[in-house]
Amino acid sequence: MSERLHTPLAPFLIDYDTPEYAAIAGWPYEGDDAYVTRLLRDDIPQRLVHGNCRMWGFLNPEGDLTGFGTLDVGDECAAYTGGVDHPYIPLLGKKPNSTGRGYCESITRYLVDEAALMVSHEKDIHPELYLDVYVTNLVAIHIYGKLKFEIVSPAPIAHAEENGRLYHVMAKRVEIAGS
Amino acid sequence: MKTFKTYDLAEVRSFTVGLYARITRCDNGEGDECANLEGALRRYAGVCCDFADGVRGWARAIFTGQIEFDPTVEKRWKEGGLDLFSRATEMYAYGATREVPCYTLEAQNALGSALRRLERLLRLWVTPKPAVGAGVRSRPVLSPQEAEEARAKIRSLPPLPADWQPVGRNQQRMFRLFKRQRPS
Repeated sequence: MSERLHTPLAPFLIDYDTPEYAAIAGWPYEGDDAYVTRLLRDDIPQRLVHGNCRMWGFLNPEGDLTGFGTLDVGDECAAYTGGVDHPYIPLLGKKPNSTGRGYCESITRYLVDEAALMVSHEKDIHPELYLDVYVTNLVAIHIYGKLKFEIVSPAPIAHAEENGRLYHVMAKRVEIAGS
Repeated sequence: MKTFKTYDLAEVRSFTVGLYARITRCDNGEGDECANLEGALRRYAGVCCDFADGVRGWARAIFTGQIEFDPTVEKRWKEGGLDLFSRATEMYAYGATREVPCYTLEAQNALGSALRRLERLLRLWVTPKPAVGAGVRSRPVLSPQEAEEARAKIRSLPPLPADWQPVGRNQQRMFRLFKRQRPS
């Protein structure tokens, strides 16, 4: 079976004070995706400025800003790592209403590769990459499954700050065999 | 680096006063570390980094819901940071005057890096607040059995293949660099 090619997106680093961040924070996430706007307003700036987080914007082949991804190092999933810091994806997404072109999969793959580079270079970080995904976000769960993330939380967890909405914790080992 | 207990105003004030005392002693030529310019630059770099780490710890404690935000503490951090940045920039400028072509002070680079970090922190300052993301404030609590099952599952996750390569060109470049740096 031939391997599906990822959509070629061009990544570039974004900081909190850039026009690209403002543009992304203004994208119209609605309904079940409204939490994305809240994270971009409240959490990601803190992670970027006070934490270890990096953020990338992604341009499509036409040169339009079409998605973003974030990668942090922290202890959000310390319950699974025995207290050791680990790579963590706080948030990623594509511009609403741009569909069906593999953007989120490409962005996730890029973040996986960044986490793998980090783990290969820094030995004090746990070698699994973690993320949270709402149980109703079947598209995202499918994408992460294709990239070999697995659900590691024993049962769905209630997100208190989002009215008890249930989420899974997923993880993927990002150390290279034999390293 | 100091371990904070509460990040209250008294503790943060004591911390920042301690940092200024370290560079003041250096300016007065006290101690072996500041016996020469390299040592003084290194001391300033260390103090700038310790300050930024202190802010990071305080902000993280608020973000994860361990402590509450106190605007008087934030004011102390911001004023202290500006004062420290000003003093450290003067030291950096003085160090630059002592460098000559083909001779650089190693600690000058360290102080430059520390100043860039501190400048970014002050320029992009974000008032900390509790996180809204999942699993940050209300961490999942696993029973011992759940924790062991989860860790067993995690241990069974397959690694990346031995011939793994990143997709991005810049990532590939970094990967080749890291491989060269790894001891054989």
